Amino acid sequence: MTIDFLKYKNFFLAVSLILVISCVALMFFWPLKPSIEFTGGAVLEIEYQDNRPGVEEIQEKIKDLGLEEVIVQQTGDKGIILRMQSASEDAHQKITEKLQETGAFEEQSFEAIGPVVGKELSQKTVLLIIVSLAAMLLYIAFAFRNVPGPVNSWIYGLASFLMLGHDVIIPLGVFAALGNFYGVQITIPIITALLTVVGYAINNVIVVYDRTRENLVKSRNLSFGEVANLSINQTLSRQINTSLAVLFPLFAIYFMSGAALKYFSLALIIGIVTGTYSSIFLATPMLVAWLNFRNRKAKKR
Amino acid sequence: MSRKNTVWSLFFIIILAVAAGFFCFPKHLNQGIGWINETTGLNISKISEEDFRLGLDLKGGVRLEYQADLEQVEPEDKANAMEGLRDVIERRINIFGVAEPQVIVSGNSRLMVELPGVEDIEEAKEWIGQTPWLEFLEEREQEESDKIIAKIKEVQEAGGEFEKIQEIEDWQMALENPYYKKTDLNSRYFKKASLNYDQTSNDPIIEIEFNEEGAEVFEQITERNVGKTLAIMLDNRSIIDVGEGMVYAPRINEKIEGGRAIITGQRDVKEAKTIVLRLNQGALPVQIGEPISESKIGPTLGKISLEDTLKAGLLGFALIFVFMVLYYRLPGLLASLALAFYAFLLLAIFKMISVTLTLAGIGGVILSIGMAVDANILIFTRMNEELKQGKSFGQSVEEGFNRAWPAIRDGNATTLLVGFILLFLGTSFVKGFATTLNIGILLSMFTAIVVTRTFLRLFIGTRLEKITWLWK
Repeated sequence: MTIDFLKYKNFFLAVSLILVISCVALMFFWPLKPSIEFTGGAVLEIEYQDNRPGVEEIQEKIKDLGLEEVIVQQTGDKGIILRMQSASEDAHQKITEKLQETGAFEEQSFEAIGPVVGKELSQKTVLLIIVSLAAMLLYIAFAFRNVPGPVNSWIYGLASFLMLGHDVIIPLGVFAALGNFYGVQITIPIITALLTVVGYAINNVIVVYDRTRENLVKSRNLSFGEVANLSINQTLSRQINTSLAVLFPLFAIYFMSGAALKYFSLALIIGIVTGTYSSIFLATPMLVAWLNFRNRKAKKR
Repeated sequence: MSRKNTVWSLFFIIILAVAAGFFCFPKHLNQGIGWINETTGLNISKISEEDFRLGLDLKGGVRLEYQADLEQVEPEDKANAMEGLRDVIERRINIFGVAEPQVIVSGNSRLMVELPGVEDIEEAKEWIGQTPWLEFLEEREQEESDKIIAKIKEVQEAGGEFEKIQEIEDWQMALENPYYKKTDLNSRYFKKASLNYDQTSNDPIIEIEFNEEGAEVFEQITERNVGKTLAIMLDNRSIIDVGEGMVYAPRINEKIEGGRAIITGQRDVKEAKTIVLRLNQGALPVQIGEPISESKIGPTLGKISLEDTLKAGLLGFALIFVFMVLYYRLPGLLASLALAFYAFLLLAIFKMISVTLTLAGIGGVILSIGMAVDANILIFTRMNEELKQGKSFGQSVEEGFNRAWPAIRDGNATTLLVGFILLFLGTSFVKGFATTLNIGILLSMFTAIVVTRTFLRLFIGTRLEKITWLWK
């Protein structure tokens, strides 16, 4: 059985384009919330032994301390997370002292990061993303340098580059929404997850492009479109099965593991699902669309 | 490949698997060795039962990051100054008996301190935050030494009770070094130390230099102590470990003017280097001030996350197992076996090169399992296609591998590429993730190409080969 994936390629390309644009819009209206690792500040996580006080009660208690902008959140059954701008140990001491009045609790973790470190990390992260995307583009262009057929290896590289953007922007859009509604922050684990998505998505693209290359050599009498469609069909079960195999442990982590890995695995899950989708519906269809576009332009001339 | 070779390679895989298994769980192996030793009288040495090295986020503890103030240090001395600072802080932490502390210089002027098991940030900061203090001590009179030794004995006899000790007359005396007494010469007067070599014997020579005021003090001390020794201490301990209760103390051969001196007779170059390093710590106290970032993880939180994540990993593994067997039948089962082998070998490698396992690292492991499955899936898909075309089983196995290889290679290479970029540019969380991911990917290629292949080859020419539903 062969499915004609290219028949509706314009539809899928349009859907993805709309998705990407709306995710960018989401990020514009609900800006991503970078964690203290990027901005500097402190996070204190405590767990009450008995009943935990309400968020308002805690806000009220620490109001007099004169600290800038303290965000109080509940976590788990008895846990409270406090995020603050001030990273000083002094503020930490004052808050824990004051909170003793609300009931006995145990300090689970405390993290304070100075503004210099935060700024440095943001710059490093941006560099990291640019470098890895560029490395991917170059690698594909290089690995497919001898590809036969009407499409140049740089177009393969460019198409995968666009796809990677797609696979990263969609999870980011989801996190913009999560940030707006649940106060979820962009942490280093999430950035790591997104970079892994890049590595993973490129893996998918290579599988289908590799097939296309092989088929181009084998079946010289088929058109590029036919070869592309054949390759998508042949790699379909691998794309789905591998994604499932990776998604199993990720779902297990998402549902069973603590807060530290929860959003890490969520970012990976979203990224891998979009990555699988784009490797089937976008990667090769994009090449065909580009070829059609070029041919049409050539004809006009 | 001939059948004989396949069997050999299976043999090799089994040996490797058993070795890896014992390496991961050494207790069982050591029990076995113990039993053999008892019954046969042999004396086989046991392997170390060292546990996996767990990161701070799993074990609980304090992490502090400092920015050193290197403004007064010459540019070419900066690396040395940082190394000296690292050394001095490590020494201090060791005094307080923290297990497996890590002190790492990061970047040009950052110092990262990790203290597993420590809960009090304030206390930790106090240990670290002092400035190194160098002192030169001269010999005591015999009479004085005896007195102090007697006092120390008296205090020891009083047991550990502080109140009892306080009743002893002049009990503070017992805190002093019995053989050396302080002089006026200390950090304040010390300029620098450097390492040189004797031109004829090539033995290391330590050159020390005091500042102008120091030169005078040094002259007086050397004058009254010719023929005696001069002890050098850093932070109240011998500058270098020369045995329990002993202090590093070179002999003064003559009165020294001008504030320059040389010390000869080091055990080896390494020791001489350490002494120079530590002398310079005392000479140029690099200020570290308040930490620029600090974090503390409670032990319970770490334990819970470790258990949960391990459980999640096991469940994920089981799901993959079921899925692979249902979808790919016998090859799926073989792949799952290869995967189990992979997991053991991975853990053994982590132990062998002592990779610090963090939460992020475990995330990397779980992801690399997915990548390991991927290689198998690629191979089986290709193999099925070949079988469908009516090729023989043996041909299909070999063709399946050959055709899947370019995709496996390119896919893993790109992921490795990202992994290495993460490793070089990332923070400690990212590094933990990238390290395990990279090792995992390299190993997964090995398991897919060598282990799964060997398993499949075993069936070539057997009766099972003909039962098509097993292979689909």
